[in-house]
Amino acid sequence: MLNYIFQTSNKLLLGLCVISLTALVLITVIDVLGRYLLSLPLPGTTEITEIILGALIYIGLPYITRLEEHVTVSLFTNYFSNSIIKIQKIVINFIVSVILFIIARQLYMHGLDLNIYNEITTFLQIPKAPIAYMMATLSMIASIIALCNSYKYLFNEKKIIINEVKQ
Amino acid sequence: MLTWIIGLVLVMVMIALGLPIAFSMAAIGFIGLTFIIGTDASLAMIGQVFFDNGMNYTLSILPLFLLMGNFVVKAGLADELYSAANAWLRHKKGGLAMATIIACGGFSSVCGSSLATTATMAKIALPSMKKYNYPDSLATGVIAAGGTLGILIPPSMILVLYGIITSQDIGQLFLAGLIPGLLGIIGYIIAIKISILLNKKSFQTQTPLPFVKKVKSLKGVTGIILLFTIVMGGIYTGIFTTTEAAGVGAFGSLIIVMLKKKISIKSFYEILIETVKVTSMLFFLLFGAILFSNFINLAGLPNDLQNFLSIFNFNIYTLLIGIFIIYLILGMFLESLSMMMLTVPIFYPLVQAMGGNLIWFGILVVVAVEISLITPPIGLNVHVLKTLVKDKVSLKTIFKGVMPFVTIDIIRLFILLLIPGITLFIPNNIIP
Repeated sequence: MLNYIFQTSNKLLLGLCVISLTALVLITVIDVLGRYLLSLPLPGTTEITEIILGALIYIGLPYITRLEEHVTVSLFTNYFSNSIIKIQKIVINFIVSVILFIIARQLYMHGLDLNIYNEITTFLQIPKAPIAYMMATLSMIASIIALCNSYKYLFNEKKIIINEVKQ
Repeated sequence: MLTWIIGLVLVMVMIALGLPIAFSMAAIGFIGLTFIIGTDASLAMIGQVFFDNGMNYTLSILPLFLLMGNFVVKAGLADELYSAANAWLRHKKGGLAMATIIACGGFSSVCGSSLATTATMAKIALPSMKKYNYPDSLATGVIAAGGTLGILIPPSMILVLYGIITSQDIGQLFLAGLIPGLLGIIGYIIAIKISILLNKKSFQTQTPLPFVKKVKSLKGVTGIILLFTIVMGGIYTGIFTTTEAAGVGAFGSLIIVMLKKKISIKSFYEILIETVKVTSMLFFLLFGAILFSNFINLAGLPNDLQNFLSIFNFNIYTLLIGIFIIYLILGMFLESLSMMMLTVPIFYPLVQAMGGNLIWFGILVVVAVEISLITPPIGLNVHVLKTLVKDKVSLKTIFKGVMPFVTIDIIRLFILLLIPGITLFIPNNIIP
């Protein structure tokens, strides 16, 4: 059941990745073409671009956290023995989870502030608070995923793969 | 002063223990800030940094240029570039190696990543150099070194991030990278000549192609030339902002890959996901760097360093040489991008205070980072290449092969340092 939820939400997030990036490209192109060819600029492009970008980054976060693909230096860790790597993986995923939790909490608090001051974008007047809530939710998901990673290493559900180059 | 020293040491320790660099910088930045401005204010700063910078219009160039690079790789434009360069150079001694450098340079003009350039060119150029019995050291060295051009010749991911950290115009940074990038190509060709001289082995050359065939070979590179002209020309003439240029570039490369029928729905999907993944990685690195840089600035690092420098009567040149030496040492432990993110916030206020131009400094930093990509023991480009060639070539041989290129690169760095005009010529003459 839990696995099913993970897989479905993963697919959903990946789908969102594709949609948001496509939208980002299309909006820029339509704006440029509209402006130069038809003298019809798309109003509020900057704001839409900013919102999509904000979404895009956080949509990718649970995904890279699950794959543990945050940029890491593995110069020294390559020399550790397998049992030490296991402990290291457990601890590191746990720390990452805590940090992501703090980030999620602060993004949510930031959202509350934006809501109180009724912050909206200048041109399209889109309220900013929901964007912060969305970022907070995705960070929270990433935090849970990191915690699961840690748990999986603890109970040997996840194998240790040693990469020579990790980028 | 003690605060930032402890902070720097702790970040290094956490990174060495394998905590992701982004989170190491964010965590230490946050903890350090709580000591200086209190818990509430530093917690609020996390919310701000992770929200505001995520919604930065200028930064949308990152995913767009990444996407353009990924489509270009998929379109197989690198093959055509290589065969075109080869058509013109195949009868020369070491022609295949020179063609590799030219193709790397051309490919860099539409791809902003060194690793992607190295990985792509390795698949294309290595087999033919093997076929004509090039020594392993030269064949692999030329690819690893040529790949570094990816981050200097615009578009360049590193320059975008540098521009954001130092609040410099990214379009100007891109334009500034053009001549130093060209110098890089010329320098590498000289390095090939030197390695040929040092290598006593005789080089197999091919018969020259008839002129008509040479010209015909250029047909394959029109796509890349067109893409580069639109993107950089648009930025130079001011028709596009950098973000718009990136969007148009990404769209243009999609059209090219579709016209070449090299893309399926599945691979389109994969490329988009890969792009989002890398974008997300880069942004969190940036957020961490910003938080960390807020901390070390509030902890008084720029002031302390300036006082320290004035005691020894440092001028800008001695400062920069000092910075390069630090990069050379750090490059042995840190991966290039993280090295830049970690150090630029520390160094740029110093350079600025001494009257150095930050566009010029940015290019110098990138060239220094390029060198660190191919110097042992980390040299990321070399390691990427090693994973591609597997056991056929030893790491030692590759590092031996890149040595002439490293030497030339260091000379190039000093030329750029002594004559800022080389870097600043195009940005200073930009059409307003």
